[in-house]
Amino acid sequence: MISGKLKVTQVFSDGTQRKVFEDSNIITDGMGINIATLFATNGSQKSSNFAPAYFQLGTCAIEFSAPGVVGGAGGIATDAQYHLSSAFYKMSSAYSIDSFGESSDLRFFYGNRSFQASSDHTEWGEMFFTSALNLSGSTTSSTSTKEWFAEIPVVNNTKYYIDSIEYRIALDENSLNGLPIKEVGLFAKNPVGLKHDHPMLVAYKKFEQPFNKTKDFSLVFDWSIGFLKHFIAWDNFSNVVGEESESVEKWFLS
Amino acid sequence: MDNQVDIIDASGHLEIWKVFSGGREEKVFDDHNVITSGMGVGLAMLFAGSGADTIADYQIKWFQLGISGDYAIRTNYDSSQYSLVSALGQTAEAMTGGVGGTSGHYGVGSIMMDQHDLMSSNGDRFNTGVPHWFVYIPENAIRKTSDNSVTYALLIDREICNGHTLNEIGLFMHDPLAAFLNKAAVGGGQLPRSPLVAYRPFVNIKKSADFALVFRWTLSF
Repeated sequence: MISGKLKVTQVFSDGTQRKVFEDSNIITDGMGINIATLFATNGSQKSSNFAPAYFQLGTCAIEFSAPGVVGGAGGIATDAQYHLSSAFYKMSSAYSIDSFGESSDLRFFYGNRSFQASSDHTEWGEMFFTSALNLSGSTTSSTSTKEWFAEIPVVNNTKYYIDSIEYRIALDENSLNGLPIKEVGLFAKNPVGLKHDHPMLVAYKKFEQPFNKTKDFSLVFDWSIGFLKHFIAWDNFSNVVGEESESVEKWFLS
Repeated sequence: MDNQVDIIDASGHLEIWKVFSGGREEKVFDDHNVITSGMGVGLAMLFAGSGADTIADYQIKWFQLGISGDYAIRTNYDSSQYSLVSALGQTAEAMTGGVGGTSGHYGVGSIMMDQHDLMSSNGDRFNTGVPHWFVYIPENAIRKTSDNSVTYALLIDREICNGHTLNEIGLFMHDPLAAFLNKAAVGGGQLPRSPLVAYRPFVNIKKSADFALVFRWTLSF
């Protein structure tokens, strides 16, 4: 089982920290495609292309109880279909670089986003929820227009346990001020292995209560991805913190 | 409790076919398998960008067959499994009344083999001293069968493993800790350390020269 958890912390200039959110996330179908492509040896030939390397933040959210809110190849679906599916590959409404502000510390990449396309016998479109249930064929494709992706520096990756990984996304005090944050998505770098990165959504979380970012604090997103529920060995190979560290718990034990 | 949409369940399915010389095929096993802890170790290393430098180190390139799957069934094996109970070419076999520890167990046939260390659940080397023998999975035996599924077609031809009662099989990632292991190509570096990523005991199959075995193993994510 592959699962994830997201913690969001406000960090004020005086060093004060306040946890404002902690919950499981959605591992989307892109994660499965990412791993299957790795093992099938028909995607990228660089291991780093399968690892999450980008994120997006958005002002709306993928809705699970209101079919048809977000466009794409989706149609009318029952709530149950939505709740049992994670077949989506895009944010609801991702912010572009202009929204982050000129003084943002983040680095950005402007490129085409990968997704799984499905056909209903007549035409192809980006797979979105119910279109995944009725497809007659599918293939990996990408957007014709480019989007902005914020980079996750490799130095922000941490491993505490041998079968999990933590990504830290730091939204500094100068980024995205005055704008609500209602969704966040984690993107694998370029699993298809095209010349330029084509990020694919692999994990997603929406916030019922949006965060309203101001210059008074930075927002830190600590995103953990774990692979099995009962395995508790420390990573003694890449672990750079001591086992006595109090910074993490074995969250997927619960 | 996680919502259904929150997780991806890695799962697998194993079919075993006997293929006789006249072309007749007989399915002798068809059931799910267990994804084991080594899968998590390998993928976490990949996603951290810290385990190995080359993509081949993270791919499933090897398998083992064994003769003590019945023990695994009696002891309720689960995803914490990190080795076969008694793999062919495993030195422990000699201690358990098995058939020694050489590649000769597999016989001479159309398979390519190599010796690796076996990774235990915490990433350390499991075997002490003599490494294990692993059977190579050629590129043409690996096929993406759906958006999120990969199928491995593992062939044990008529000349291989004869005389053994086979009843367990495991898939192995190549060497996800390569970057941490001092494995200089020249000068006595360490062997690849391969973790078990999927495992399944199955019904006893007394292998003979009358038939080949085909294991069709599908992993889904």
